[in-house]
Amino acid sequence: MNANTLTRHFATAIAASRADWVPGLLAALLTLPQAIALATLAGMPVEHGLYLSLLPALAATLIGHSRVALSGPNTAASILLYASATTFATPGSPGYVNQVLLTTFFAAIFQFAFFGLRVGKLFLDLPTSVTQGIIAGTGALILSQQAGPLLGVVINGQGPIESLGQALAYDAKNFWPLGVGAVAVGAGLWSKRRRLGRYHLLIALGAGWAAADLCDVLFGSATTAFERLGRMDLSMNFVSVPSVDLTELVALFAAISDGLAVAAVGSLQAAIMSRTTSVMLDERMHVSRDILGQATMNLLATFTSGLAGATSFNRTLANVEAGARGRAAGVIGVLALALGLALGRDWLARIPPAAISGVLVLVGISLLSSLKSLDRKHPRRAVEMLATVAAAIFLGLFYAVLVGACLTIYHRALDRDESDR
Amino acid sequence: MASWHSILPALLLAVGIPSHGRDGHRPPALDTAPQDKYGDLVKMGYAIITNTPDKASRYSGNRLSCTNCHLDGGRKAGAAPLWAAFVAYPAWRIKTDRVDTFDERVQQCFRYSLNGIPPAFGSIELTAIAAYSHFLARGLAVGPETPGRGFPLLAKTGQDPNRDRGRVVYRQHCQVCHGEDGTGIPGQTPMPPLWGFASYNKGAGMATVTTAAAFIRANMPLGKPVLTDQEALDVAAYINAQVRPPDPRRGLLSIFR
Repeated sequence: MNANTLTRHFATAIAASRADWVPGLLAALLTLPQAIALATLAGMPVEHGLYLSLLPALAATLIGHSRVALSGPNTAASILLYASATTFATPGSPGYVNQVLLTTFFAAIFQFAFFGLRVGKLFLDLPTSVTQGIIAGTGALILSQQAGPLLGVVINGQGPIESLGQALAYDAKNFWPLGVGAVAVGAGLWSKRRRLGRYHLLIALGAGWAAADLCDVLFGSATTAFERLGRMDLSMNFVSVPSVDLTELVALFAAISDGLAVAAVGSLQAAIMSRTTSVMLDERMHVSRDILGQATMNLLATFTSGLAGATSFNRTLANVEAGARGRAAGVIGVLALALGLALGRDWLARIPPAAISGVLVLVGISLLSSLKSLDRKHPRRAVEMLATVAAAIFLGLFYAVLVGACLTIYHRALDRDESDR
Repeated sequence: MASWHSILPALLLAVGIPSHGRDGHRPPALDTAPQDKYGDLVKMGYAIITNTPDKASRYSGNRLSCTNCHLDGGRKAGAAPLWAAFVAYPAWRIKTDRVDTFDERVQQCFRYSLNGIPPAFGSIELTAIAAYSHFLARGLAVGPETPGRGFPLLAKTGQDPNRDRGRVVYRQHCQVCHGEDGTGIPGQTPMPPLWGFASYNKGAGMATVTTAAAFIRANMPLGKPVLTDQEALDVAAYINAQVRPPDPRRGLLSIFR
């Protein structure tokens, strides 16, 4: 390779990464509240969610094959960790943190094994109709999850229908966050149709945040009662080494068995997102390498005060929606997050979750538009897609994959039957 | 003949003192907390109450700790003890004009007294404070009339509070711990700031002269309260006339209300 070719490659990389600045900044701003919320969901001190979003997430971005996939704190992994570790210790206590780190370690080991066994190849055959169904289903899920933050309600429900029902049934709803969300969505839609389209999600977040601050100044923060993220304190001493108590082997066995569950769920998430983004961006997929990225992330998380994570559906799809096309978005996201936490923690503490919800509503609307790709000429493909969407909404994404895959196998059998005749 | 043990409760009742202590309740010692998950939360709650800026740094907005008003880690009767508050909620409050739960009451402490961000429902900070308060309230009957709750009310003195007299009282009794400029003394055993932007905001209960005076009269100077009712009112008026963060209930448009 001569110097000219090298220079040309370098120039191309710089041009590509320039396009990734905006999605990178958005990734940092979206990661912050999710890292806090998902670490809390896992029963861990919030700082663990942030540490997971730094070095381990960076490793997943650099090692995984999918260039736009964003990994880190993840709802399914957090729920599994909580269910596992809460049997042994009080959430937030040192014993609990150790148990979660131990589970994270075994999750990493199992994911390395999955990589070695090339388990990811299973997902190569997931048809486009199912993938499009998953995209639209994720859109519906993301939209339903915003009902709570937009109405100032804490949601305990798991499914979207339950979440919506709880939010609407709650008596002491606060409509101020709904107004902020509406401002964010309005600003996002307005800027998307203009030359500012590339920045529309950032503009939405900024407009929502500014609206919340303005309302506080005009009416008083006790009147508006917006939730705010709160201040984060990260120390440089973040090295962690989980210990094994040989007098409590039951905890060790739980860490191993639940580590397997976390590894399986994390790998499935990586595979689904790999397939989804490959369809959206018309790229090749390599699920095994994405699983290797997850394994490395979880191994690093074990030793850098993190917790087990996985590929995030909503952050990845928001990344694509913001125009990310390369790894630079993920890298910039991590760097911006680290810089923000180091220099602007008091400022970031004031982010209102309602503005973040406004951004996620825009992402949800955009994902739902994949319903337009419904194949009307081939009813079986259309049924596969709609069944996947319905399963995602009523049963969750994992069942959606299962329902979609089973239906595809069934339809293929029917097709063969008819051609045999 | 009846022994003195059997007539003691009747004697105590006759002079108006409950047999289990003048202030109605003796909270259990922290080291008697159970060695289980509940006990872990109780200890976490104690750590937050006694060192709020560090242990609840996500939500705290100034240099005050809960124990600066809820003295002795929320144990002391007459200094808004947490055990009395825990059994008094849910309760209607004039400040919010609705029935608040204990968690909501703690959120209000963070918003006003700590000039910070109310911890989210379900947050570890809120749960730990509730667990600690619940532990302190062990053995106490549920209800709003617990002796020792809040601060003892002051009798009417017949005089308005006077800031100038308050300044003299402040210099004589308070300045040594809280500093000449009222901003407290940082360090291992920090003395809380009484005004300035590291202190409570104008929406806090302590920003009301009569409430602050009641607290001061019953508890200040710490360990040897010697002020008269009028001196407490004067010094409270002086302290609350100083600069502090604005009331979060009021915005720019509040002038039209």
